Amino acid sequence: MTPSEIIDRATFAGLLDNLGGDVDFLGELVETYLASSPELVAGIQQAIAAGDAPTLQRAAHSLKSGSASFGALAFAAQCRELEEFGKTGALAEAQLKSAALAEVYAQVAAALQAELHTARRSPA
Amino acid sequence: MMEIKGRILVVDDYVLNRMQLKRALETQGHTVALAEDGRQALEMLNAGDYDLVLLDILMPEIDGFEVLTRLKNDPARRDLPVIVISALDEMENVVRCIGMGAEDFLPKPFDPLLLRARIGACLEKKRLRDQEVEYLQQVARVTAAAAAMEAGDFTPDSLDDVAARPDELGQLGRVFQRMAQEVVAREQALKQQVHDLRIQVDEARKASQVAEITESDYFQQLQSRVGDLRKILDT
Repeated sequence: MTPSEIIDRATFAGLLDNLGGDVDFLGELVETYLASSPELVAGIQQAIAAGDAPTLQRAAHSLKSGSASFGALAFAAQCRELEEFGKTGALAEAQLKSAALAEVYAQVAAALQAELHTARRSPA
Repeated sequence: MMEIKGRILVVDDYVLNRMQLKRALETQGHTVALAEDGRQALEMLNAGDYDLVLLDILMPEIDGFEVLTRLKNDPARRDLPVIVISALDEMENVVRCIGMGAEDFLPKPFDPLLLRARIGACLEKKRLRDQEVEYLQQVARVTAAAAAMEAGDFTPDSLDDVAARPDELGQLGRVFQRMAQEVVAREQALKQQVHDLRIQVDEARKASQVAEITESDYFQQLQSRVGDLRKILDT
């Protein structure tokens, strides 16, 4: 997948617009997302391994929310499914769905950094 | 119309949501406090004074439902408006929260215009409700003043803030206060008159007692003897 397929540009641009075009603050948000998401990805996998459905639901919920706000819509949809599995206690399905979660997240992180880089170079 | 600014408590366990909401709300002129979970939110609500709570639902330990339940069971805070923060795919939670007394909901990701509109509407409703509560409290103060008047322990300055209102209730407060002051002043004048009369009566009584003694035969005899003794001494 190319960065533009991983991050929905309209959503990303909409977020920047909502921030009044403040690229620095957008950068802070992206950095916070990149700093907090690996823990959430690991938390999802640990919760599945421990059979802890409520923790799975909460971690997937947060990751979904943050990812969707930056336009990582496919990844957010994957998190949404995991959240639902956590809610219903379908841990076997969650196990299958989360198999490549860390790899997908790594793609999202790289694409997001690329989008931020582009936004920083674009005239306000 | 001027937009109302408020003190808003944002409760969300996800740092990105807290950052975005804080930024958006402060840009709109509100004062923002942040709580990272339900427990911290309840502590802050006990310690501080807020106009509105923006509440996430899914949180560890004490979730949004629990925070909402405790707020609505607390007579001192049950009128504090709560807007639930929620993704559009969680409508069942939103419906449950509104059934529990939440004022409204705010979908994630946040739209600043929608945020402004919902916060503004909520704060305006709170302002009107606060005004109504204050009005009823002041009406109760006037009726309590009437009872105090009857019991004789009315203090005129107890209605100062009611009398300061610019509306009809304020006029009632002012009229009541003025009439009460007149009644109190008249009572005090009457008391003074009674006091003065009592002194006059006492003095008249003393004079009458003195006259009674000086006009008695015994007193006359004593006076005559005193006269005789003076003559003897003078010779």
